[in-house]
Amino acid sequence: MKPRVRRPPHGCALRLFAELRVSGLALAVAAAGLCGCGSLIQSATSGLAEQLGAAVLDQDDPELVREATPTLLILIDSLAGDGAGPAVLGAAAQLYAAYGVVFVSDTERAHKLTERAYSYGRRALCAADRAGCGVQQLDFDAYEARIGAYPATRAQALYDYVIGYLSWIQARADYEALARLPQLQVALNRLLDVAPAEIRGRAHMYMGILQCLRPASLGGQPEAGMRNFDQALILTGRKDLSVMVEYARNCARLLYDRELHDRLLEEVIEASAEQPGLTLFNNLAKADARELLSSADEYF
Amino acid sequence: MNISEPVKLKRASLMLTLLLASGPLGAQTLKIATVTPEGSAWMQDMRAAAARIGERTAGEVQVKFYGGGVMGDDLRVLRKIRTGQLQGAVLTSSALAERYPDVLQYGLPLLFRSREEMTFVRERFDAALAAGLLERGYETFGFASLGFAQIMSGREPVVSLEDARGLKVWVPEGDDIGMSAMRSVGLAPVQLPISDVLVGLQTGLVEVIATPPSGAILLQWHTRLRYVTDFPVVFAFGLVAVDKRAFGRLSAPHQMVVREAFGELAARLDRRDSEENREAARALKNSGLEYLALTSGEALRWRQAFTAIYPELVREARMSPVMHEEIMQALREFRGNSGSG
Repeated sequence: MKPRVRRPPHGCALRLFAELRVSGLALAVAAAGLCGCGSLIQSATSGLAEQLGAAVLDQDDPELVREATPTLLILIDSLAGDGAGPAVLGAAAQLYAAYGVVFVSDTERAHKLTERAYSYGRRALCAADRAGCGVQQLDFDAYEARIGAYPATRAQALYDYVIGYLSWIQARADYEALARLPQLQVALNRLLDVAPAEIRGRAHMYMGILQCLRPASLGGQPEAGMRNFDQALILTGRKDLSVMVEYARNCARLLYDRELHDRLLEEVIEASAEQPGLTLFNNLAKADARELLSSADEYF
Repeated sequence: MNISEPVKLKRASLMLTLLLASGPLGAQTLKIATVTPEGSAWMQDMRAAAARIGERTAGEVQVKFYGGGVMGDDLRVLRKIRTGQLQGAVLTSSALAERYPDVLQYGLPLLFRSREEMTFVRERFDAALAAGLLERGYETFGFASLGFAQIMSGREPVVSLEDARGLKVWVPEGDDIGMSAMRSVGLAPVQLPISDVLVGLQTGLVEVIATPPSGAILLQWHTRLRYVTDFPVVFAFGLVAVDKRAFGRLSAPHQMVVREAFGELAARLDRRDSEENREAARALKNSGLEYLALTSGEALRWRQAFTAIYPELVREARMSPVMHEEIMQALREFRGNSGSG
């Protein structure tokens, strides 16, 4: 059974993550969150917990994951108190982000949970390097300079911050949230420059979504967005099916490229969902692909 | 020529088959282009209106929206409408000014001092504008406010007209009335397409812009701005325009369905504007932009400078001076009644 995906209310133009893209992005954020949980448990406890993390990601029943996650959130809160290191804080950001955007349908709760995700993300960024402290108080130019020079060796913390921030933006999807997208873009750019391939694959996907968001006539760069998605496909080896679903949903549809749209989604449907660490979210991506294909005639 | 009964029947049945194959006489697809981005609330409302039309006509009228500017800029879209490749568009009012200059009447700088004034005037003149557009070949279904543009600047605060002198003021590409107005009051306009404004602000090619708060955020211009002059400068609106010939090919009941659905759409979009811009203004403040208030003396000086050039702008843009005077008269009436004159 597919988890209940929170669909924020409509209300303002260009709601990046509202409605049209919510399920896909949520999926992507959630996948990242549970990966983070694996690393938390690994560092905090033992091999048993590591196996637990893997079992979650290899789970093909999202409802089971939905019910189990609150326990993990309480566990992670207990580990992420004062003095916690960037790995634990980053994992907390990711897990709260995942739970807040995918499994919670109540707006107020989603706000609260993603606020915590964002807060953990900021703490992780600061704990990993002083350059990441107090960035939210900076004006855009200073923020750009600081994040643009964030240490390459701390890319994981920057990524955790991005995921927390993304979940915060998605849960709100109002002008306040839209106003933060340029900050997110700055952080993604830094990741594209310095992060290891695994993180870059996802960063390219998020960047692709942002670039395709606005038409070229309004300052968007859909062509660049397509290149981002192509890179994401290469870096993830086409095994992460959510990348193809997002590509179809966020770029192919927006550019009215039916051929690309259908080709990507058919590939998702034919592909095996079972991939180490991706089974849970590949199954959800396949369901999304079927939904998108079935509405294609009406759309194009 | 003597045609046997079976042949006659066959012909009749062939005619019937052809008619059925092509659908009822009213069966049509209306292809409508817009630069509105996919996924935006506007686009979602448009698609909902299309779905309603499909349902209420049992699928005999299909409306397809092509968003994100994929059909080209306004000029190209209007050309495609003329050649029948498209049947309509969602446009800003200025896009139709070449065919019908009076569509610019509401867009004179500093014409309205408040939303209430704008509403008062629109209640009296929207119908006349719609009739004018119909005469020039476009069926429209109501106007949707895009909000009041405000002055925003990156390096220097702009409170008085003197503050703006010497700064490079952005005017949208194709906005001749804007160019003319800026020059007439002694400002230095720079014409750029919307897509180049962000880079323009970054590089200093433009220093002052006018946009509704929502536009500043959606186009990410707010990252390069520091000040907002809290003063309504110009009012813009959008509309759904359908080629009159294509609309005329619909059956009367189908016309009614389309008119109703698009009318509801325009009203919905119109209502959304003020709430959205309030929300966007809050977000601008939270992003660190400083709102600058004008003294009543400053506001008066801005208005006097622009009001003085209205006759010139009306003439240059080929607007009806009679309608302009009627609008000014309505404003005087409103201001007299509200004691704000």
